[in-house]
Formats: sequence, C-alpha cells, structure tokens
Amino acid sequence: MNDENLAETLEKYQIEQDELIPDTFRANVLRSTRNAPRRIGQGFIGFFIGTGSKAKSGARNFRSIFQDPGPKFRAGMKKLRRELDSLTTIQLTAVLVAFTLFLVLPLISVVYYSFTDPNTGLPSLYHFIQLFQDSNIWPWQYSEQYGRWFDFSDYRTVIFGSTDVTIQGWDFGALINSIYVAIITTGFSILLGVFLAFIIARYEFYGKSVMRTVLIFPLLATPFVGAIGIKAFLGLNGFINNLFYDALHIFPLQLQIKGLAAIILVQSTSLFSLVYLNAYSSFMSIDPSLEEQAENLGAKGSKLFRTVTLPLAMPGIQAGAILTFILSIEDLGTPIVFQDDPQAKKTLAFQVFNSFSSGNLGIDPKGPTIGIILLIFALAGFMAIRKYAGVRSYESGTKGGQWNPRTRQLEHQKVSINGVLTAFGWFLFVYLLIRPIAWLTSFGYELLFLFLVVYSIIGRVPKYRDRLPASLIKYRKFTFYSIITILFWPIFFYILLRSLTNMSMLIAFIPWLLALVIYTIAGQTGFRKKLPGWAHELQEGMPTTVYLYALLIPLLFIALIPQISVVMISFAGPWTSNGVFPEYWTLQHYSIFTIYPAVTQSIIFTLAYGLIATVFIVLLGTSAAYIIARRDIPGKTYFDLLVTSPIALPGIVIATGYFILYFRTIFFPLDAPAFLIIMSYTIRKFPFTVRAAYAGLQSTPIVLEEASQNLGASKNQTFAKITMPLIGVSVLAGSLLSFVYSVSEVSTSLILGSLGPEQAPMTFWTKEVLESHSASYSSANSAACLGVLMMAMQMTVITITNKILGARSSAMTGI
Amino acid sequence: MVEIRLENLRKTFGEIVATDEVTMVLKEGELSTLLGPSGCGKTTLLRLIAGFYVPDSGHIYFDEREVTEVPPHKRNTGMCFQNYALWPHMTVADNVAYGLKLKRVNGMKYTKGAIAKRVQNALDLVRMGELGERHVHQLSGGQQQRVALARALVIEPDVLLLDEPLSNLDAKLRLSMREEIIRIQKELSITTVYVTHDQSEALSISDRVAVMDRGYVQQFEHPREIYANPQTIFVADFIGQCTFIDGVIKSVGESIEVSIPGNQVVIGRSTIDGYPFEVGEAVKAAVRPEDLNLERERSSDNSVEGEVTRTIYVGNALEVYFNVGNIPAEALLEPDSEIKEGDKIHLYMPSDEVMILPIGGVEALRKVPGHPLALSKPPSKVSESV
Repeated sequence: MNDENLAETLEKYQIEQDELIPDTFRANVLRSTRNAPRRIGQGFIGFFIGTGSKAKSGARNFRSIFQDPGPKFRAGMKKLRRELDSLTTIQLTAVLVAFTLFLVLPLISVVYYSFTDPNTGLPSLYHFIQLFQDSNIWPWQYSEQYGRWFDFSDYRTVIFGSTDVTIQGWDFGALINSIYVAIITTGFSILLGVFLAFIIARYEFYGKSVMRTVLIFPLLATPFVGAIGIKAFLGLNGFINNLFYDALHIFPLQLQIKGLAAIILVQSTSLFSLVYLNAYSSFMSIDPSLEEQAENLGAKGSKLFRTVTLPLAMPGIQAGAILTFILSIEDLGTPIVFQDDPQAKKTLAFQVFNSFSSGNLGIDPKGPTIGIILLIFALAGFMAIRKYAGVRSYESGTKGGQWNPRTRQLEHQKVSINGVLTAFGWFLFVYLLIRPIAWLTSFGYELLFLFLVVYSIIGRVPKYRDRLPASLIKYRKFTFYSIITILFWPIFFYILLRSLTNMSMLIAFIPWLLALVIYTIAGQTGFRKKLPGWAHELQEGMPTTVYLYALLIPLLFIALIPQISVVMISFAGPWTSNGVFPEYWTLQHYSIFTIYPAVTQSIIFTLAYGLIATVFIVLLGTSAAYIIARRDIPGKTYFDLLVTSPIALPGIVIATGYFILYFRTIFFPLDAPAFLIIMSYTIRKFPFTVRAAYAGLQSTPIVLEEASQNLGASKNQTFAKITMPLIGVSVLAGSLLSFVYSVSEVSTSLILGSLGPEQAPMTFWTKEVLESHSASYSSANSAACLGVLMMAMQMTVITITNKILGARSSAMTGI
Repeated sequence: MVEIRLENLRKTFGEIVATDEVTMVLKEGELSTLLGPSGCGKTTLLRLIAGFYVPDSGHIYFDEREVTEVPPHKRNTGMCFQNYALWPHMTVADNVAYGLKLKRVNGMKYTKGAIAKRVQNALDLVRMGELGERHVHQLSGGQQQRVALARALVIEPDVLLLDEPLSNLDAKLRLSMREEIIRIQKELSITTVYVTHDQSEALSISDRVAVMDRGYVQQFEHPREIYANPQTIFVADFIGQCTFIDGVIKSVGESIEVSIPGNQVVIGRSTIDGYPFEVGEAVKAAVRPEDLNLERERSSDNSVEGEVTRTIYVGNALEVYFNVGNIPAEALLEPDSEIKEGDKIHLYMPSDEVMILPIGGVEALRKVPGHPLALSKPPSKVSESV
C-alpha cells in the first residue's frame, strides 16, 4: 500500500493521521508491553472498587430486611392469606414438613454436633482443631515429642518401575487433595464438555443424533459404576496394557494409573457431561442473529467465538462447571473403588465414610466436622449456580425475525501454519506425557515450553493465521513431491520413538537426513509431477468430516471408557496373563443376581425404594413447582432455593445428619434404615422433577388456566384438569430422572446401607460384592454385572428423557 | 459509496425456492426497499447481499468487485437485524465499538481515542449520546433500534442493510424512527437496502421499491411509478386498493378495448411498455377506487353499472361497495354523495385510469423485450438443479 493510496483512504473516511496505529506483530507487542503496568494497576483498582460497592449494597440489602418489620410482616401475611387456598396450603405444608424433617433438621444437627465440645457440651472449635491434627487430613504436623514439623505430603506423580510406570496424584492430605482433584476434574470437564457441545450444537454431520444420546450416558453411570470398570481396564494386566504393551508394543512400559490420578480420570470421564449438557443448551439458545451481527461487523472464527458466542454461553457453562466441582468433591463411590491405594482414601468424602466404619456403635466426630467443610463448598457453589442460571435471561430476548439456525455442514478445512503448529504441539505434548526414557527428562519439558513460546508468538502474527501459501497445501495438485513432504515428519517421529527403546535405531536418522538433503535438492529441479487421477479424486472427496471423526472417535472412546469397560468386564472369562481379550466370553458372572439372596433382595428393594420415592417426588415436586410458578407467596425465592438445593448438598452430610438425629428413633430403628433411605432419595432427587415441572409450567401460558377458571372451574379443578395434563410430559421426564438417579444413588445408600445391610440397596451390595474375596466368583466381574444392570436401566430412561427434553436437556443436570 | 448489482440470483432451501431470477441494480446512495408479504423471499435476498447465504446460481457485485462468495465479515456491510441482535453482555458503547475494533484501514487499526470519538459521534447521530454506559436490557425498544443503527453505521459501511427495522415498534415511534432513518440515510448518502412488509412504509421511505412475491421481483421502480403503472396483478393488488374485472381483449390500438361480462366493454391502457397484447387474450382490467366518478368527465370515459351493497363513511370520503354482475367492486366517492345500500349506480372511469394487466404475473413479463426476466433463463425445476 503506497502513501498516496493511504492518503486517499484517509480522506475518504475522514480519518486523522494520528487516529491509526499499525497492526503489526511488533507494534502490538511493544504497545502491550508499554501499557501492561498501567492496565494491571487499573485492574486492581477496579477489583477493589467492585468488591467494595458489592459489599456495601449487600449490607444495605441486609439492613433493609430489619427496617420497619411490622408493616412488612402484616403485608406479607395478607398476601399469604389471599394466595393460599385449601389445596395450596396442603401442598405447601407437605413440602415444608418433608424438607424440615429430612433436610434442614439433619443439617442443623450436623452443624450443632461439630461445633460442640464433647467434654463440656459448650460451643467450640474443638472438633476442627482435632481435624487439623490428623495427618490424613492435613499433612503438615508439629510434633511435641520431637519438637519439629513433619511433612506427610507426597509429591511423587510418575513412578518408574523396571517394566512399568505408575501415575498417581500428589498427596497433600484429604482437604487439599479433594479440592485439587475437583479443580482438575472441573478443568478437564470444561475442555471436553464445551468442545463437544460446540461441535454438536454448530455442525451437521452423519451420526450426530446418535452422538447426542451417547454423550449423556456418562452423566448417569455415576463415577461409582465407571470406576469398577476403569480399575479393571487400566490395571497392570488390564485390557489397555495387554493391548498396547503386550500385544501391539506401542507402550514402552506397562502403564498404571492409581490413587488420586485414577479418581481424576474416572470423575472427568463421568462428570464432563454435566458441562456438556449445560453448554449445549446454552449454545442452542443463543439467538443466531447475535452471531451473524458480529460476522457482519467483521468478526470470524476464534474472534467471534471469544467475543460473542462464549460470553453468551458462559452462564450455562459456569453453572455446569460449578456443579461438576461440587459433585467431584463429594463423590464417595470412586475413592471406595480405588481404596486399595491408600492415597485414594485421603479424600474428604472417604474420610466421612470411614468415620462410620465403627458401625452401630457411634460415629467418629471427624465425619460431621468434614461434613461442615463439604457443606460450605456445596452452599457457596449452589448460590453461584443459582446466580448464573438466573443470568440465563440472555437466552430469550428475541422479538421476531428469522431464526436461522447456525448449524452448518463441515467444509473443507483450510490449513494454516498456526493449525499445523497446533497439531504438532499436541503431538509433542502427548508424546512427552508417555515419554518413558530418562535422558529426555532433562530437557523434555523445556522443549515443550520453548515450543509453546514459539507457537504463541507465531500465532499472534496475522499473516500466519491465514491460509498457507498455495504452493504448500494445494493438495489438489498432489504431486509425488508433496507426498514425500508429508511423509518426512511422521518418519522422523517414528524413528525418534523407536530409538527410545532401542538406541541403535538412532542410526536410522542418517538415511533420513540424507533423504532430506536429496529431497531439498530435488525440489529445486522441477521434480514435481502430478499424481494420477484417482488420487486426485480421493483428495477431493475427503471432507472435513473425516478429520472430525478422527478427532471425535478417540474423544468419545475416552468419554465412554467407563461404560465400555464395565460391559466388557461383566462378560469376561478368565484372562491369560498377556491376552488382549479374555480366553472366552461368558454369562456366568450374571448368576450373581440369583445365587445370593441378599443381592437379589437388594435389587428388588432398590426398585421399590426408587418407586416409592418417585411417587413422593411427583406429588410434592409438582406441588412445589406449581407454587413457585403460579403463586405469589412471600418468601417464594427462598422456597425455590430450599427445594432445589439438594442438587448440590452432599449426600454423605445428609446421611451423617440422619445418623446423628434419628439413629435408634422411630425413623431409624436398629438395622432398619429403609424408611430413611426412601426419604433421602425423595429429598435428594427432588430438584430434577421440580425443575422439569417448572420448565413445563413456564412454557404453558397462564391464560389457559384463566380460561378454565373463567368457565367456572375452581382452582383445584383447573389444576387437575388443565394444568396437570399440560405439564404431564415434563413431569414424566422429571420423574423418570428422579427415579433413575434414586436407583443409582451412592453416598447415602452406602452409609445408611452399612448401618443395616439387610435392607441396603443395590449400590451398597455392589460395593460389598466388589470387596468380597469369595472363591466362587470373581468380585470385579460380578460387581460389573450389577453395574451393567444399573446402566441398562439408566440408558433406557435417559434416551426417553433426552427425546422429551430436546434442546432443554440441561434440565437433566437439575439446574 | 457502492452500487450493488444482482445478476440472476437464485437461492433454494431443499425443495423450496426462496428467491429466483433476481436481476437488479441498486444505485449508489439510494434507499431501495424490498417489499412483499411474508415468505416472499425478501429477507433471503437481503441475507444474500449480506453474505449469510451463498446463492445457488447468479452473481452479486459491489461496484466492480464480485462478492458472491465473499464471507459476510469481509463485505463491509452494516446490517440491522429485525430483533436488533444487540449483545446483552456488552454495554451500548461496547456494542457500537465492536465493529471498529475489528476494522483495519490499510492494515492499521484505530486508536482507543479514535474509537471512542467515533462511537460518540455515532451515538449522537442517532440521538443516544448520553446512554453509552447503559446495558442493553435497560433500553426501550426504540432506543435499542437506534443503537443497532449506530452500530451498523459506525463502521462506515459501503452498504447499509435494514431488515424490518421498525416492525417491533409502536405506531408513533415507528413514524419518528422512519424520519430518523431517512435523515441519516440522506445525511450520509449511503447505499441502503430496506426490507419491509408495510407498503405505506415502503412508499414513503424509498427511492425505489422492489415488490416481491413468491421469490420473484415483480417490479423495481420509483414509488410513484409502482403505484401508477403496476406491472403485474400482484403489484396492483398489493400496493393500494384495486378492483379487478376479468375480460378478453377485443381490440389493441392506442388504447385497449376489453370485453367484460354483461356485454360491456371497457377501454384502458397498458401499464407495461412493449407488452404484446393480442386480441382474444384473457386479461384483467384494474381500476383504483378513487378513479371512479359519479359524473362523466370526458366522452371517452367508460361506464359501469352496479348495485350498492354497502357504504362506509370514512370522513373525507365515502367508500362504496357494489357489485357489477357478480364481481365485487369498490369506489371512493365524495363524502356528501347520497348513496344508500341497494341503490343502482352508474359510475364513470377515465380510460387512461383503467389498467389492463396480463394474466400470469412474472411469466407474462418474460414476453416484454428487454425486460430482465426476459433475458434470464426460464426457471428450471428444483430437482434438476440440486
């Protein structure tokens, strides 16, 4: 662009010379470096001002509650009298009584218990001090005896044996362990969930509907069931090692994942669908014209995603992520499955469970005290979820106009240098992860670091984001020369990898280098003939879908490892030590359903508990949803918060509360926890039906009910004849979810079940079977059979509900 | 400023032909309206110009540059969506500044100061200068509309595209916003395409109106021309009121004689220059209600007889509904005429106000030498082209 041209443009758009700054890489870096200190300063100031004003307005709100309470109270009572007719009163009272007895009081009792000094009965922090003196919980302890600090933490993550490599987590004691496991799990879930949700929401490709259903399975197969499979799958002589180490020789060493690392793996592959579902709903509900407008103004690709799509979907993603965090931190099933590694026991949830191991005699005070910590996380998280879910008002806001869905067919991908480098970077990353040889350790990570630096610098240069020069990627003009170009790097890496296990392979680099020299010379001499026609067509006919599948299928495989492994193990006969597959497949493990009366009974009990709880849930949940959606009673927001809070409240804490409050009372006679199990299911799985019914009510115009009343039907008749039929499908979806979550419930079932094995549900017996060492059956295989039964039930239900709910599938996560 | 040329555009969605054989030139600096009932393809045409759709066939040019396959973000058009599409996660000023932050002039970008200045100017232009820090949900419908307009204008687009921008506003606000759009458009003299289904809005705002039906541009002309010389029955019917009488051509000459039922003959004129009427061709004679008079003004006036079925007094006129044979017709007469239901009336219409229109709409226009539709290929079946 010459100066004259520029002057003309400036003239045309009336731009002053000094209003433009160069947009080159160098100028941008210089500018941002210069401005960095000022911007950081501003950021801090802004943060403090923001926090200050928030605190101020919070205090103001709090004060206003107590100002002038008399008239407000009277006005509230008047409103209450007007809104409450006989039916509503009964509904409201029933819900409130159930929640007070089986949620609020137990939680209060946990709080009371843990803040009481057992010796004096006075309020104190005694139990908390005790808690932090336990090296399982907090690894840095001071010993009076030796007069110095001891550090029980363990920083080893990758341990090399002679033929195997073990990956475990850091160990910082249960408190920090649980938190960092939850954070990493949430991180993985966000990456996986958002990515998959975006692909599904924005692209059309063959097999998409199948994938939509499949991606929801992990949600229901709770980590507990998946963990059984993964443990057997990834063990030293499990399927993965036998396939990749013994049979294919791809792994140079046997790979073993255990302890907290295994927990992260299991939880990530199960819980990511929480993020996926919420992100999917959010992406689907973005008004397409919002994105089109950004395109119209010049945004495209990642810029469009960063500035418009992602911020708009953020509330949903955040809500899903927080829920993932909470469920990860309170997950009891996975640590129990992996408890043969002591590291896995050092999680908060397992420590609570452990405090019950003394059985009927009483409870270790550690349990309730840890429960308080879990409760704090849960409540904080829940309030945050409600805040973000509330921000979803982004969703609607359309006032006519066309709704042009933004799903599109995949196009031929344009290759950029940036894209090539990204692929290479991932390759390097994965390689370094499985890199087994010590000599690379010294600079492997530095290499990755260096690469990332170079990569991000190059990624900033706009020129390289555009298409590669045509000469480099015009595969359509496929030449022999270009094929050799493509082959060079794979060969390089192959030699490199092989030489890791066999140093003599390094010699292979010599011919490779020679080839490179010849190649370079040949490139100058016009040795660039075109390929024959058929290869031509092959290239033309290969759309991006192929690349997408290449990416999605491994991802899906990872996401479905829990399901695949559980099913496989349930049918597996004995394994020869190095076989990829068992010697034969068999149904004999399934005899577990019949040969043990206790197991058979527990299956029947579980279904019965689930059914009874679902009946309660439908009756009370529909009432609650109706009151929230259609009645204007004072304190409605708090009522709404109360009935949806169980989604986040840890089951182990609720179970602890039941034990403290009701053990050896009419609700919980010795060895007979059945009633409390049903009630815990009712309360804990309540939100699913409430949210579904509420969604149904919101999409049903209130005028339909008014029309009925206008024609002479009373409120109760209207509710029965108009409202219920209209929201019936939504309630059905919600109740199915409540049922299936009840049946697969783990934490309260295990704790309450251990206090009365006779009446314990299926999940408890799955654990018992898993831990037993009977000679007559293989414990993991048999436990997997119970898992398969549970999964089969869940998948049936989930396929139905997914159909009913469609794009509103975030309701499945209860938010 | 840019002249938009559309050449033989066709866009289908599966089996449905959204728009076909569109050939027109939108002159630079003019405001052209795409007018038609819902589903006529006007929004599709707008989105083709914006680049959200790529046509199945045909070409789009901005001046000499062909943009048919250019993605939307490289076209430098400013579009206002029907629902305004304001980003709820940004303030008003951020919304407006978005396009400027992405804009590069000769590879250079705007400084922060330059962006702030332009955003303020744009907001001032739409009289929203003080509300830059507001969030979108704190604005009324009319205010949102203005922000959307400012956002589209601030990038100094070559083309301004407005998709039913006033359809969500109440009647009064609609009038004032209409004035606002005309003012800004004239002030910046920017080539503008305006989509609407409201005919009075289209006639009052546009330099040229394209009347569309079933995917075809039926006529693209100045508003006066559209009203005075509709080229198809659809246009005559859609713009203003019209009474249609079926007939057969009796003779073709300076004016055209048409035999209508009841052994009557009306004399009228053709509105289509160069259309080859033939004796014996079935046509419709169209007359607008205000062109019917109670008194004969010239000897050449046609006369019709009818029986009044209903009269409506509307203040400045009397609407008279009557039947000629079995054809219902409508006349707009002096308010003080003493006509009652059941009266027999005799009405006169000047022969140059009777419009003789061929049956068959756009198909008929293909017979006109030099007409854009005559030049383009006849429509092929969808199944063949897919």
